[in-house]
Order: sequence, then C-alpha cells, then structure tokens
Amino acid sequence: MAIVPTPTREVPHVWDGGDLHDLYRGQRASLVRLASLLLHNQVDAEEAVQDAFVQAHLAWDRLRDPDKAAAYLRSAVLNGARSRLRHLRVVERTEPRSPDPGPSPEAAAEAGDDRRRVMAALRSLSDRQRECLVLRYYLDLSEMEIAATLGISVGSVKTHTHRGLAALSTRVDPS
Amino acid sequence: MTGPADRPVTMEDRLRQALNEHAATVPEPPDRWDDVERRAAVARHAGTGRTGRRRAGGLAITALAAAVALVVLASVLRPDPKRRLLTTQTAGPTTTAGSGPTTTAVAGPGPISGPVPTSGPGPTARPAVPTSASTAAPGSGYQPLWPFHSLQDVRAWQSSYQSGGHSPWHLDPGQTALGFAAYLGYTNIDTVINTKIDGKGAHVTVGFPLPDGQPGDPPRSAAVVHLVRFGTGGDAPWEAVGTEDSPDFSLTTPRYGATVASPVSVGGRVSGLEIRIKLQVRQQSSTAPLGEFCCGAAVAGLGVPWTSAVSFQGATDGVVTIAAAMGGGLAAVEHFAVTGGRTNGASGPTPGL
Repeated sequence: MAIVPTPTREVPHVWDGGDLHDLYRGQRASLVRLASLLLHNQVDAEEAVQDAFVQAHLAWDRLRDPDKAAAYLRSAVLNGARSRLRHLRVVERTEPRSPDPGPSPEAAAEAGDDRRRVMAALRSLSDRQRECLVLRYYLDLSEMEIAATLGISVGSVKTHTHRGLAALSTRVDPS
Repeated sequence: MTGPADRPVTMEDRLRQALNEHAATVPEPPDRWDDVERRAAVARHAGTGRTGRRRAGGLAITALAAAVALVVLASVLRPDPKRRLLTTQTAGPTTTAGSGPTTTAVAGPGPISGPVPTSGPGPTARPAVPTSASTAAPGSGYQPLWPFHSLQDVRAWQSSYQSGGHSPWHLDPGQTALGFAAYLGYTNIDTVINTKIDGKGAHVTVGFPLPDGQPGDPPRSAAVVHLVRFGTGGDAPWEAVGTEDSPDFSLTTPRYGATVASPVSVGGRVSGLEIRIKLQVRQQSSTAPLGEFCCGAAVAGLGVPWTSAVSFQGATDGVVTIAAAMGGGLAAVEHFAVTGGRTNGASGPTPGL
C-alpha cells in the first residue's frame, strides 16, 4: 500500500496577520498601562509590550481567535515584565546604582501621597503577589481568569492575593 | 480603616484607586508596529535556520538508525527456522503505486506507508522495528484509525464504488474528517472550517457553530484531523490517521504508534479554565468504545500539562484510537485530539492485505 500523491492546493487561512495589527492599535496603550504597574518605568513597559506582540506575531497562525490572542498577549506581557524585573535585579546586584532619589518634591506633591505609598508598597511585594493584585484590582479579573493568565491554580491565586493584601496593609500603614 | 471622607476605606479600595490613578498618568505610547514586524521577520528567519539544522541532525540520526536496522535485518535473515516460519506465516503480498514507495504488507492492520503524522511527537513517534512478525511491518508509521481497517476493506469499497458509485464521500477528506468525529461520538462537530492538502496528506480543521452565535460568526475549531490516501489508484479513499497538536489541546502520551495495554496513561497539554477531559479507546470493529473515563481534570492555564488514564478490554483489531475531548462550556466537545496505538490482542484470522 502506498500514499497516492495529491497535488498541493492554495487554501485560504481562517485568520491573517491583519487582525494582529488591529489588536496592536487597540490594545497597545492598555497593555503598556498594565505593564507600567508591574515595572518601574514606561520604557521597560513599552518594551515588554513590544516583545509580547512579536511573540504573538510568531504564534498568530495558532492563535486564530482574537479573544485568545488578547489573553495570550496579557500573559506574554506579564511573563515579559517578570523576566525584565528578574534581569534588573541581577544587574543591580552586579552594578549597584545610586540610591533611587524617589519622586521629586513637585511630583510627590502632584501625586497623591496615599497613591505613592500604595504603589511603593506594591513594588515591594513578590512578583506573584503583585501580579495577582494588579490583575484583580486593576483589570478586575476573576480568580479563575487570573489563574489562567498566570498558569497557576486558583488556590495559589487566593493565597497570593490574600497575603499580598495583608503585606500591603502592613507596609502602607505600619502603625 | 477610617479616614477623610474622600479617602477609600478599605485596602482593596485604596489599591484600586492607586492603580487607576497611576495608570492614568502613563502617556500614550508611540505606534511601533514596524518594529514588531521587523523583529518577527528576523525571528522567523533565525527559526528557519534552526529548523534546518534540526532537520539535518534528524537526517543523520535517521541514517544511523537505518544502518542499525539493516544490521538487525541481516541477522534476522540468517538461517533461523523459528523466525523464518513466523515470517512465512504472516507476510503478505507487496503492493506498489506507480513510482511510490514499495511497502511490504503484513497480517493485521499494519501502518500505512508515508511520513509520520504531525500529531506524533516527531521521529520518536515512529513505531519501533517489530520484534515479532505478528506486529506491523517496517513502515513509516501511519495507523489506520477510520474508516478502513485494512487494504482488503479499501479494495472492497473501491470495487463497489467503481461498479455502483457507493459511498463517494470516501473521496472527500472533509466528509471523512466529519465522519471520524461522529465515529468518536462527537456529534456536535459538524462543520468543515478549512482543508489543506499537501505532500503529507489532508489537514482538515473541523469544528462547530457557536450555539448563540450570530449569522456570519465564524465557527469554532475543535481539531485538525490528519488524513492520508489509503491504497492505490485515483480512487484511493481518505483514511483518518490522527490529529494535529494545537496550543489549545494536545495528546502526546502515549506516543503515536506505540504498543499500548490497559490501563493506558494518556496526557498532553491544554489551555483553558474549567478543564475536564473525557477519554475513550475505540477500535473499528466494535460499535461501542472499548473503554471510557470521565473525567480527568487539569489546572487552569495556558499550555498546562494534563494526564489521566483509561482502562479498556476487547481489543482485537491490532490498532486502537485513543481519543481525548474537552468541553461543556460552549458545546459538548470543544476540542479533541487522538492518537493511534497498537495492541497485541489481535485474534482470529487477520485481515488480508
């Protein structure tokens, strides 16, 4: 028995890359805002989003569904942010920088004092705790959605969220 | 916590407000789509090179394996009364198709010649060179899952088709793929979304319309069924031999073409939230599944591994289809994947080839 060779035909694809460009135009800004809550500056946030769209571009044939693509991009941004933070920590260990002067007096005055303290405390949490809190209280995702985005169990999401909030309370209001 | 009237009371409220206020300060990022396209193109180019090197490495390994197989074959062909008797009893005729590869057909539903299906995990998915003549002959590894069990069945249909035009759907890969889904009991899978035909056969994306979808909404894809032409001649029918792995759902254990026994461990990767996976083992000569298990569960996530097991009994065909399906939210079956396994339970006269 043998395979009967069959001529190759041009077959239309269900999705094409044009949809990703639309997604880029529509989602880029919100993803950068999300990344900025996890990273320390906007340049890093923009790079994390650019990286995520490059990954999506390479995987576009497999994504097919715009809803799945949005979830994929969100996960990619979170993974990219985590990876970038890890890299920055290594760099800081080998090349210590001058202490962070913090926001200028003008910026501090402009920003609400409470917001500044909450954001500083948020950045002191573990990566997972910070991610769970940002996804829960910024994107308003459910525990199941957070679990799917981060690739962890719902139980872990509950634990990270609970412990993250407790740590945040302690650090924002030490008294 | 208590505070001024304009300050949120709980930590959750304070956090939510701080996040939104901070996000609102982030300026609109510039449009750098060109950068995305350029970097993707570079990565694709680099990936092609790596694939080429992997292929070269794979060819070297294949060549080495072929040399070892020749040595083994030579030793098998040396005078050994027992081995020669087994071979004589079970070996069948040799068939060829034009200038295509010549394959020795053996008793039982031996693998269909041709490249290894993409649903298998690559070269390792090829069945090992048989150690006994009662298993498959050396071939390229396709397992005939449905609708034909043997070349004899194929010829019988070809004869009836040529004389009376019976069951012409065997010549349509899309209809055959839908029939395969129905054979597995996935009755909501009723739509052919895409058909791609290349040198490896047909790759048919099947799926289902969204239950609450609007007219014009695209159907959801459930699987890409891989089919090859079985037999010889211009009317050689399509045979389902596997499914292709996808980021949504894959079945990689047991290996494609591996010999399986009950209970068989089944696993792969899956993306989703409430993940419940139903397993079954089927053979063509039985109307009911040989075994079923419902349901294995996986942790929610993207591309997370899943594993489960299913017991089965009564395997006599020599080839079984191991199928896994997940669904329940949008439809009974939203994704499915299969692999072909071989069993040692063949009994009675084997199908002639």
